[in-house]
Amino acid sequence: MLNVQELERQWFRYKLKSYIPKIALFTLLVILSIIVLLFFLDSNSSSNNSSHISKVSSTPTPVSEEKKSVTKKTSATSTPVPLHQEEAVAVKKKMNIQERLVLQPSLNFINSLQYMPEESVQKPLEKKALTKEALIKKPTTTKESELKIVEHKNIKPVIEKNTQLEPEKDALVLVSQKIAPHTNFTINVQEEETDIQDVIKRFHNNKNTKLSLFVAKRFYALKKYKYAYNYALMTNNLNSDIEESWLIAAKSLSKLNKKDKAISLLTQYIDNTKSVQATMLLEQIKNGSL
Amino acid sequence: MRLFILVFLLHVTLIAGPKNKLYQLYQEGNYKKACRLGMNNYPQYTRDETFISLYAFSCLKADYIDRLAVPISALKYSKEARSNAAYFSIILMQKKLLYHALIDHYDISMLNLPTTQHVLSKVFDYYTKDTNNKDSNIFHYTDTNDKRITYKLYIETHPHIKKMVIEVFHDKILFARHLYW
Repeated sequence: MLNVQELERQWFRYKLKSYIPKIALFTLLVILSIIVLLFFLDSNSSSNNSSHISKVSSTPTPVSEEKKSVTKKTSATSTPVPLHQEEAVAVKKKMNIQERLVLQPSLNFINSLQYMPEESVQKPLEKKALTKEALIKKPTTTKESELKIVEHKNIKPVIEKNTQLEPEKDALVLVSQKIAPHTNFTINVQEEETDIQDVIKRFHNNKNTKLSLFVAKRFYALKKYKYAYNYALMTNNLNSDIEESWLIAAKSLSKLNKKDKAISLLTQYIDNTKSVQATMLLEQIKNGSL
Repeated sequence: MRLFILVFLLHVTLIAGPKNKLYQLYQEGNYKKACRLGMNNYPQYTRDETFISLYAFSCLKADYIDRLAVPISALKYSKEARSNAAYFSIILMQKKLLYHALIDHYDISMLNLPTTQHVLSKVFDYYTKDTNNKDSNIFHYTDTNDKRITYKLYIETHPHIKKMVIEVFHDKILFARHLYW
């Protein structure tokens, strides 16, 4: 005896399976047609825009109106000023500066990229951070770095070579900030950082004291006092006659809450050179007015 | 069906790949590579303003100013994109005008264009305001905001082309050198 119900069920399954490739093909065709349509629409919109530009350029009336309004404005401002000629010129110059439009780039779109997997972004940044560190703290110490000011008759080797301070972690926060969510992209700071890195590279190639002094100054201005101290120290090691590097080293020490060391460094320097600037700085440090 | 899903996933990964890579390169400060990647993959992202903006900023930072022309025309759908397009176009225009003025002695002193914080805009502003003899070959300007920063503008002659050089000095130390042509 035939089981009709079972046979019908089998037939239904067979029919359903036969439809699957057709359905898949159909959906694929639909998706492809959507993609083609999108491309088509995109090219159409761009051609429309170009035609719109040509239309605008063919009608110069609004431009002339603008010009008129501008001339009216200038005439209105220039006539009733009862000033001397020089003053009037200065005022005009000021007006020009004020009227000058300054365009700023907008980097908010970067925030929309924050959803990306962090691993893919962080790995290379860590590498960069390491290279930065390697660049800055060239002579490394295994022990916890401390400042050792050794007394000598000559000023030249006042501070030992291995008294380099560990670079602050804060200095590298800039790098990690960029990948932290909800933070804006600080282009200017990054530029400054990369530019300093270029000078540091040049210094390591040339051993030019001008470059190291420049780097020390820049780091001091950026409030990275440990870096500033390190580079001032390198400058002193290369050439102990540069007063500015001594002053930066002392200032950095003072900012790092190591006033005693800053004072002893300056007193030694003053004993040998009788520098006026150094004595003034010493007084400032002693008063706490730095 | 499996084949279809596979094709779809492959398509998605191919589309997402260059964008991730571009962001990564930008974060690393590898602007030249990022600019090249953006330029090569631009046809896939003609409507993705995030990608185009990132590509444009990479080119700007790599000093490939001429390459900004493509993103300028593509950035138009959002307010931010239009503002960035205006920003890039000012820099591109100032570069072209300055180059023309230096080589052909074309007078641009009457121009009062909007400005930006980019080095080209700064030097352009100093050049247009400079009332001294424009026939000299080298121009020196001091930054109005920071007197320690100075700019040197001149034309360098190469075998087939003349190039405009802008050198930035900080405390008389060469800080950056920009070459445009």
